[in-house]
Amino acid sequence: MISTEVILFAIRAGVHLGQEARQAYIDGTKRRELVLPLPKVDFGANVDSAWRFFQNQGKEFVNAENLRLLLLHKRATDRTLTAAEEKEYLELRRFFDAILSARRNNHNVMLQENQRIDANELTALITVKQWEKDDPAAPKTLHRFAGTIIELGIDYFAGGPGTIQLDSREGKLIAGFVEALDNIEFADILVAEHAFEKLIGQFFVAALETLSTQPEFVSSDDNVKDLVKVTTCGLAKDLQIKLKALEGDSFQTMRLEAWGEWVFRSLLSSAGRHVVEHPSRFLGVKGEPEGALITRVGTAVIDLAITNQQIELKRVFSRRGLDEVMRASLHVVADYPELVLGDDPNKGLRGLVAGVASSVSQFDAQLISPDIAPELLRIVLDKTAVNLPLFWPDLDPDKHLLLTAGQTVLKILSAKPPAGAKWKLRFRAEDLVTVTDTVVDELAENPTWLLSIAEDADKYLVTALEATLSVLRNRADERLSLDIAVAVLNTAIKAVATDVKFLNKAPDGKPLVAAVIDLVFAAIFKPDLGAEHRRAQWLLVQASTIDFMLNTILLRFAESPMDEESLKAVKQQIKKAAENAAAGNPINWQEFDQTLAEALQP
Amino acid sequence: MHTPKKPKLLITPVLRFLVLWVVLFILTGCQGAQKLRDAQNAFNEGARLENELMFKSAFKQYGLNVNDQNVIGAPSVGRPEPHYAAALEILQSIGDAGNAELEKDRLLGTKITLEALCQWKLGRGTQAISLAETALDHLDAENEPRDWVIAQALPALVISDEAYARIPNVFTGKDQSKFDDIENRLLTADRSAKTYIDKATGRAKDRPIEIWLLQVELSLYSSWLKARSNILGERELPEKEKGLLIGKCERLETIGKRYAHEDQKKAAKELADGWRETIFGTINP
Repeated sequence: MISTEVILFAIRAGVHLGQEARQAYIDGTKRRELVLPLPKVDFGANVDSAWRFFQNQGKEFVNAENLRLLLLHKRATDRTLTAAEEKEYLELRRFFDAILSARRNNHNVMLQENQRIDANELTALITVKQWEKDDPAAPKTLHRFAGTIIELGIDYFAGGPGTIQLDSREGKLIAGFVEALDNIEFADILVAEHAFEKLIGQFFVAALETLSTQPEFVSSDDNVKDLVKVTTCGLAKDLQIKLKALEGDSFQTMRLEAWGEWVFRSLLSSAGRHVVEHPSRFLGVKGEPEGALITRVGTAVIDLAITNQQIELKRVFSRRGLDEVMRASLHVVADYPELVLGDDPNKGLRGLVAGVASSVSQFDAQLISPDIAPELLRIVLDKTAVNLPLFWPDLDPDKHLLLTAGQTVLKILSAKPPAGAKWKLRFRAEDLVTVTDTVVDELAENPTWLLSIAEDADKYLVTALEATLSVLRNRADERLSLDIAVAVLNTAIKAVATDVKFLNKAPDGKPLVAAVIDLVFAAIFKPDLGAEHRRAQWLLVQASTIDFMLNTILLRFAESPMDEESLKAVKQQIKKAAENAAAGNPINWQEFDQTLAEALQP
Repeated sequence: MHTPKKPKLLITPVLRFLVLWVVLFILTGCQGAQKLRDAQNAFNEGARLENELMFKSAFKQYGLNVNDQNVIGAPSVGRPEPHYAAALEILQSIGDAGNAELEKDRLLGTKITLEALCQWKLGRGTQAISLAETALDHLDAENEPRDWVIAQALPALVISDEAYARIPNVFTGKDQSKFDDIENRLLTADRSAKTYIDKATGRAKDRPIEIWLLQVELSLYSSWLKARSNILGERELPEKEKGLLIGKCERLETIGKRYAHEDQKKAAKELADGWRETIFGTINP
């Protein structure tokens, strides 16, 4: 039983398709091939042309050795050949011309029996279509139908024909979507039809899925239409240029197609709201094609597939991660369009994305989940937006202070524990991200410090992190959880960011920050404690205790002269606290802080 | 959130309806275009026959066999003229309403061009040229490149045929003024056939239709040579024209190979050689 809605849908669809089919029929009529005749002409060798041959190229054959030819040529000159002699004269022309050809080919003549020429082939040479295959003026039937097919497909499949009412919210959403897609100038996209068909098919499916999974995103707002239009059209054109350049490389072509579709989905679904809420930023860039920012953000990510041939992109970027990158990228390019609109594509966002993907993929494969690179990028991009000129002065990815800091964190924390280390746990992906976040945060929040250490930021960071990590590896044991270790690293970073004097050297050569942490860990993880002290150790090794103790000590230490005497005072206070705990007394942290402050007074 | 669903059972009747609707749309809305297609078919049939006759006689002369089995439009009997006449009759049966419909669909220029070709082939040169001029008013070099080139070149076809008809088949004595008249018509006058070919060549260059246009030009020179021989009694080919025509034959071979399918490339060479033999008497000029 067919419902009324289905019939109405069919009528509407029929009208649409009928109109397009009629136009396709008209185009087809205009395109049809025409066999073109020639004016009247004596085509083929004749007595005149044969005479010219024997007067010129074939002159050497007209001699006493070929008496018959000599005679016939004389008669041809005198125009006295009979019909039979004309035929013989023409035969001799063919014979001697063949000899001439054989000589020119060094007698390498292919002998063919019953040599035939296919009349079809000769006729085909003067059978001409209105347009040649790649003529941009030629209407493409596929293109003509594409918009309608997409329109009907969305209308029919998105919610079932019975549910689409044009005046409903859903109906308006779909109308906006369809209108946007229908506005694409398909004929502008000069590509091989099969590639275009495939691409549009992928985009169509992606658009349908976006619609079905996130109906709340697609509103009847005109900006949605613009977003869909510029995203689809811009990326399709861009991808086709890239695909054309890859012609002949099927592997890379397939890779780019798949990645391009992924990026398209991500741009539509993740960046949609962001763009719709700020249309003037994204859809109205002066002097640029509409939507240049959106498209170029997509392009920057798509380019990963070309610029990093060795990276398995889906291992480095999860779908969720890609969405995050899109959001963060759009956020930063809204304030700094030069990140994607510059002349050099290797500078700015594309270079940054490629740089992160490339560096992340070089780390230990076990550590690299598909969230690391997007997270690193998101963190860097978010903070970049705070002060682009400071963090990224000339848009060279290699000189992005936050990125290089992030990469330093990843490099140090992902390294295997050294031989002989007591604490051998390896950091998880989320630990790397947490510490990176802290590092980037601290750098962003302390621009003065960042400026003061300028290009040495990386070196200072390495010193602080390596020294702290070394303390953890050498002093702690399996009782130190990864969470506590991360907290310690974060505390150390914050301390160094607050006061660069924490990097001054202690008498044992360690940076002060590491020396202080070493004192704490030496007390907590002392190996030869007796049974009576185990309760104290149990109390001290708790996460909250370590965290509080370290923060308190570092804070008070920063207020001290930060010299050898200060270190001794700290050591003394820690010892007292441990002895108190061993005696069965609860640790009074307020009293600990007070006593420490007094002991560290200059 | 709405969950999409596919009402599979409903697809078949809906598709049936769509097909019916589309067919109805085409049948009821494209009668002018339909007649144009019929006329194109008839004209193509005539042109195939004519070309086939030309190639057959020429290549049999060279000792090559044109494959009768593969001739398009078999059986290859009869003359092309009835087909041209049929095409013209169909085109003339399209009334004012049909022409208006064709104009709306930007097919009127294509229709008038074909009509001009038919008139030319049926020997009505004046009507053909007049129609070609009208066709150009409805054609755009960018959007209808083939038809524009044909309409632009059509006066050359008429002039060439008329000049050819004035050339005697045998030499009967030198007649300079008669030769000058034919030479003017073919190559040298302000409105010679050659000037129309030159106009069309700009748009035809590097396109498949250049193959046809080159052959039209070679036809002009072939007739000119015949006129030199049979009216002036001069068979030798002047050096200036020799160089020019060698270049045209080479161009024909090159462009033919470029636009031909793989299995037609040999035919492109044979076609160029056919013209070399016509003009120079050798495939090695």
